[in-house]
Amino acid sequence: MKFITTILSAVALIGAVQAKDIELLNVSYDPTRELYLEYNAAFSAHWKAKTGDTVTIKQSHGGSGKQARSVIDGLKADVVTLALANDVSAISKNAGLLPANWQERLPLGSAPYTSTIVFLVRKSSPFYGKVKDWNDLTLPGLAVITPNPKTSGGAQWNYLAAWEYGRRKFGSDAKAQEFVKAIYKNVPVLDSGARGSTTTFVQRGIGDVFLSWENEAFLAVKEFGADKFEIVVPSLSILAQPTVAVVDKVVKKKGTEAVAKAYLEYLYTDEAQDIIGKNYYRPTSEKAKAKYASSFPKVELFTIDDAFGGWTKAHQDHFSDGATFDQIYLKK
Amino acid sequence: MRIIPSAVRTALVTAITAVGLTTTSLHAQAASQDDINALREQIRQLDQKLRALERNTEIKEETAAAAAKKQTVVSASDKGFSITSGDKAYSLKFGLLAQFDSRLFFDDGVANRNGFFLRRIRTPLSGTVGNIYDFNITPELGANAIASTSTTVGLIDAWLSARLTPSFNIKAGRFISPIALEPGSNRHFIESPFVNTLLPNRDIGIESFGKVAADYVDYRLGVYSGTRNNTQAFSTDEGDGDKKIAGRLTLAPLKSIKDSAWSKLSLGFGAGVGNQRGVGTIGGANGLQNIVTNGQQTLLSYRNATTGNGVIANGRHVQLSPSIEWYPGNPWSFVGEYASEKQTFTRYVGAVANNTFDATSTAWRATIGYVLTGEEATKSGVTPSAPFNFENGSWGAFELVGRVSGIDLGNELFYTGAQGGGNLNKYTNATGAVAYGAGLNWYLNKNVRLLFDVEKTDLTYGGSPAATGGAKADELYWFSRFQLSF
Repeated sequence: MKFITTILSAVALIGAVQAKDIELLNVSYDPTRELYLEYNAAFSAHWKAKTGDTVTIKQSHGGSGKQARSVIDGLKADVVTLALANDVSAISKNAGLLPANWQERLPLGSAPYTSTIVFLVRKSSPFYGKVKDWNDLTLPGLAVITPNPKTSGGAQWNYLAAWEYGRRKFGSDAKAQEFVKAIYKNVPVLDSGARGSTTTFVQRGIGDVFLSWENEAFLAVKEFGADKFEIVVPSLSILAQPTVAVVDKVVKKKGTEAVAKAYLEYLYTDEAQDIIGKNYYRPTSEKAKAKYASSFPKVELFTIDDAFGGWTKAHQDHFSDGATFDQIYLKK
Repeated sequence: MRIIPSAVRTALVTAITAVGLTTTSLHAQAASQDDINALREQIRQLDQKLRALERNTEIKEETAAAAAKKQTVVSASDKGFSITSGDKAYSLKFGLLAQFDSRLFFDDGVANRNGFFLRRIRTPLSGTVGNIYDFNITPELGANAIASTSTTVGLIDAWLSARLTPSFNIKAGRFISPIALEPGSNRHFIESPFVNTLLPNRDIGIESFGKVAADYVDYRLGVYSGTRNNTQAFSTDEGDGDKKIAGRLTLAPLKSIKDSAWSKLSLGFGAGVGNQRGVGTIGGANGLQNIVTNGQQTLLSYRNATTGNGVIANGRHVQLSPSIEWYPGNPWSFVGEYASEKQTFTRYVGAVANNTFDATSTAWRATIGYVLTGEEATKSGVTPSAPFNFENGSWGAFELVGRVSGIDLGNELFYTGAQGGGNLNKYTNATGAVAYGAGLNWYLNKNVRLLFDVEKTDLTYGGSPAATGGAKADELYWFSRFQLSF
């Protein structure tokens, strides 16, 4: 028996000493492709210098809600970097893959960068110059492009930003619902994610206004030209706080816990914050904030906690089955 | 709903524009700039509606395609029949290996060896559970290894494995021993060469396996019950308490030379060490499998089951087997293999133990293949570029094969008892052999093949007219096989 134990130990050792190549899967939402492409390269170089190990990060992108569903259904994500805290919480609640207090494990509620929602207006549209704020989105004949809030985190930010604007302007939730309903009456296409909506608006030439993540809007103008699109900043928008988390059960099984944790912690370093700013996400470190201050337009931002009592309540009131979105859109 | 082609859409918009312009021209006197602008806006809105219609159709199709990917797939193809869950985490595959052989001997050895054989009828059931756990259960319904009158039904493989990391995985159950390169089978010929008669086929145990050193090294290492050589049958040896440590390393040293035939060169080294013991009672299992020729005829029988005279395995058992394989593409393939087996034996006279001794036997083979029709020669065979079809005049792929192999049994087995040996009769048995074989393999398609082999074996001793009961002679056979596998 002793020699069998020895052999099995030796066998285990062979596997252990060879585990120098590490692979992580980051399951993210649609508009973070460019950000994480650059960030992954920086982190791999950092990790190689620190430990000598080679870490390869694979990416998966899609609508935030869809991505969360994939992880719940078995996609082996080492980390998730999703558009909504609620989507990460859904993974915790429905699959038990990470603890309920996951937001307490990293600074700033596990939100290393922020963003907001702006309008991308087509310059060839007859409505160009007429769209200045949320209430202009109800103009007759105007086509608004936004993804499906049932599957897209960005779309939920859009929806709630419009709702809060309506509530403040018209004075009640009932009026806000009528206002948001009028906007969605002008939505001809509902993509499942923000990148799909970008394709619809920018490449397929559909719609007059695109409700866009700020970084997506900047990328579209950069790639397709300022002569085609203009970023319009509404008077009020929402502070979007995409969140990140290690998927505990997956990393423990794969033996990637340490590197996955380091991968997310590195997002808060100066080098990463600089990459975040370069990719048109709003950094959270004071140094990077100061450096990129002029890049981002000034806008009054409200938070989900202040306006809607947090994500859980917002989701229940607006996006669960039979909630306000279903009332608005199914009756459209 | 179909997507409207852009050309159609453009034509439609142009037509609407033309109608608009015609209308405008007919009423040029009355038309105002506002009318023209209104028409332009109508056209723009129609264009937007068409684009939105197209995009919504596209999204519906994407959604349907994504949903289809999640659905369970039932597949029937040249790879077999399978059921796979949409996420591929669960699968079940039904396979078949059916070999129908014809054997014809031209030598004057033992009578009644010619005939037809259900050589192997295996129906493997394999699959995956929970994404990383694989299993294989393969019954053997043919298993006619040697004699035309004995067909047994048994379990050839039964194992579970867990794919943990590329470099470290675990397998447990009954499966192919890691010591030999091609245990129980042969890529080029119908029957295995002498090397296999000195090495185990299936064994029961637990092993780790994986690829390390940037996939340059493939390893298997485990602890096994230890079994007799060259047999797929369960035996009492596996329950005798003795264990064997065995493994195989396979190296691809030139893998990094891109676009070079040398990158396909593979060097292997299998080894096993442990104890192998039989029992000395008359008729008891001696822990040894008789040595056979490439034509599956008995070349050496260790012990007389009736009188008990002969030898049994009784101690340390060491096996080594280096190999070289080269499948450089098309049309050539080469395989070389060597085996050395050292076993401690005890000589018995009746049920009485006499002397104990060690004997080392060796075997080797070199095999070559040449695909006449130019397809790639791979380790699993040849996939014809034009499968056999009589009506179309396509004939599949043809491969010529050649083999030289030899065996040299330990002299100690034939020494007398007084000399400290096993006192086996080298005339009724043989002390060694060299065989020369050639064959033609006809691959009708990926799943069906016909094989034709002729092989001449020269025995050392054996079959001498001077020997009482000498029954063996040099061997010359013509074997044919019809095989279906998926």
